[in-house]
Amino acid sequence: MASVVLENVNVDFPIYGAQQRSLHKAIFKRATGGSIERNGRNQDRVTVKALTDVSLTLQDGDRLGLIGHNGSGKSTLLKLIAGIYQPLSGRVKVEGRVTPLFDAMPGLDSEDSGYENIITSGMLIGMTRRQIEAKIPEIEEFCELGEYLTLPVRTYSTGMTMRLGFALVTALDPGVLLMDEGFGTGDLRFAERAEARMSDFIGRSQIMVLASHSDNTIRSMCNKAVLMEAGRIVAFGPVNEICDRYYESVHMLPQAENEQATGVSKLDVSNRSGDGTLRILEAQIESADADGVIRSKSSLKITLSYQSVSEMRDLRFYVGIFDAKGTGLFMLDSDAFGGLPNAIPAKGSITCSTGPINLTPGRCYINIAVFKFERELDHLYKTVYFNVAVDDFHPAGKGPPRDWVMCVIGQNWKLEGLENVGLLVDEDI
Amino acid sequence: MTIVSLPVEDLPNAKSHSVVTAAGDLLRGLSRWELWGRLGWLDVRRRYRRTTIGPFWTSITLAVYVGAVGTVGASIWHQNIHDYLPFLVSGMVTWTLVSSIIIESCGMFIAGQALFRNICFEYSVLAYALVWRVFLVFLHNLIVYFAVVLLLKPSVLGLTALLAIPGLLLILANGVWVALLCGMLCLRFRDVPPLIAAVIQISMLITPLFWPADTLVGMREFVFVELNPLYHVLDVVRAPLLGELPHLSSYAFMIGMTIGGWWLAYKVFSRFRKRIAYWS
Repeated sequence: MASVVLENVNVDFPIYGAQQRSLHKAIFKRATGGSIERNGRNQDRVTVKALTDVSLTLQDGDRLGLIGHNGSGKSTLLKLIAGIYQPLSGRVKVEGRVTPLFDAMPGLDSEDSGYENIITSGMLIGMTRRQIEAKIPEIEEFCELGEYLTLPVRTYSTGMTMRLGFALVTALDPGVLLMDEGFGTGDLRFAERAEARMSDFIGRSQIMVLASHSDNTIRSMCNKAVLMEAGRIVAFGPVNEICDRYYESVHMLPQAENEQATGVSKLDVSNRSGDGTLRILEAQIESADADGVIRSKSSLKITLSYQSVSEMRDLRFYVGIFDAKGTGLFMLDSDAFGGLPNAIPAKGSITCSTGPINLTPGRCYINIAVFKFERELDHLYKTVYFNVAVDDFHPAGKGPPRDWVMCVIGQNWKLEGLENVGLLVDEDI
Repeated sequence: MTIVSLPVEDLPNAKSHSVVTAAGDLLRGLSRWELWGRLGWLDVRRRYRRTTIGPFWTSITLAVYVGAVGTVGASIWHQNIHDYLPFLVSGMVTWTLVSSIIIESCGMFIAGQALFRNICFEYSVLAYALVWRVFLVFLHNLIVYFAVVLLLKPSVLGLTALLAIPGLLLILANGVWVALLCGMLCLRFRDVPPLIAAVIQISMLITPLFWPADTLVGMREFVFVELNPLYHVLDVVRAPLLGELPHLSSYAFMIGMTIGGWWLAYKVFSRFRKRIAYWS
């Protein structure tokens, strides 16, 4: 029976040796992270509030994902549970054996042999010499280092050291397992059986806490999640719910700036590649509907204006339409459908009209790319966001949300042998 | 790493991994002798890895030092070489022990940052490991003492010499609190290590180490001998090694320092133990 209880925990980091000047700059440059406070006489004591009023209870079987931006306090929270940091105020109660995996081999000395390091690290983690020696055959077998274990660790390649650390750590009884993202994921790739061993290891743990800023990692390994922002827990709940929320906070930030109600958007060029021979200057997404609102069954008209140094030939324009979560929906391709002349002038605009999109209400974005054969001239990612508005495609607003499905389709329901009692909503289909 | 701690009334049989009291840290740290014994031993070994003579390099250095300084010193202080060399060597082995503890404790927590930022363990383990490591080096140096004494003045190796053992234990007991206190102080205030190094260097000259205590008289004797803590620290080990009885005042001083020092170090340790990870 293991448990982790945090009650109103606060953690402040005092910053020593930080020049006032550079710190002053740091405060204004700081986009993420805990808030920085000054106190004491002359405002000369500087502290970073790494965790503010954090409360959390975990029981056996909980697989908790800590998700948030860099500097949101994930690692600090892990280290707090590990007992490395003591809270400034509040209480931390951890029942059960804790295995922190921040450093696979603490106390690793490159001059010592593999065997010696296994024993030193094992003891530092909290095993007795006898316990470690009992584990050595298992570690030897898994890390496959053979004779190398008798040589100093400095003769190992990075991969070999990693294997040794991995074999040692996963030989432990995990208890309450604390992981920071790099550990399980990146290092795991050395072999497939490492992955099997890792999931077995996680499976044996009573409680796992994993910090990551990848919602996919969290979704695949956890059943609960905590969303952290600037040292606070802003949400706690089932993993998918929290990850969705995080996802939105990451990917929907441009909403306020470059989106208008009509679905006509300005170009966001913050994410761009290509050699620049041709540049997309503007992109517009309009509904073919009279009021200009993009709805589930609207057709789109996309206008791209571009400029290049001279008249160009053999260009291929692409517009990718994606759901806000990154699922590809449509690919508009000037070459596949034709219609553009082979030579286009140095400056101009191109339009593409589509059929009805049949999308559920929700946010979408587009990528725009211009290629000349294999050559990438311009490539804009997530350059325009637009909204598909709720409409009367489904009678009485019964349409499914985007969270459930991407597309809508006209339907005709009837009971065989009886008159048609359903409603054919879209005669066009 | 399951350590009982915290007022966990509502969690019966609860075990927490984090030691909350300083006493718990010190006692549990001490009980992990396997760990600090190993850390200390490996430290000694690492320093001399791939050397042929190994840890005996310190002994050889000490032997050469004592031989050279002893020959010169004997004429400066007008001493008989048969008396002066044993005096110098027994002083030097003790001095090396004491000064190593003090100087190395400055870097103890600074060097240990990588450890306690990644795993949770008793901070006192580092102090025990340090004292143990310095003691192991002392044992190597003791060979020089035996060589010199057997050669020049075997008569000092009597029963009185055994009194060096309680003296040594007193030094080691003080070593742990010195390591903790200095370690914390130096971690927090990075100006302290060079300061301590300077003080140790100067005290080597003003403590009766190269010269016998009785060369000073009157006020100077009072200041540089009686009031000098390092003199008493040396005395409880050096005197027995020379076949003499240490002064009672030295024992009194050492016992007082053990109690006072531990009291102070414990106060500081229990007050600031939680901040050690933050200071790193």
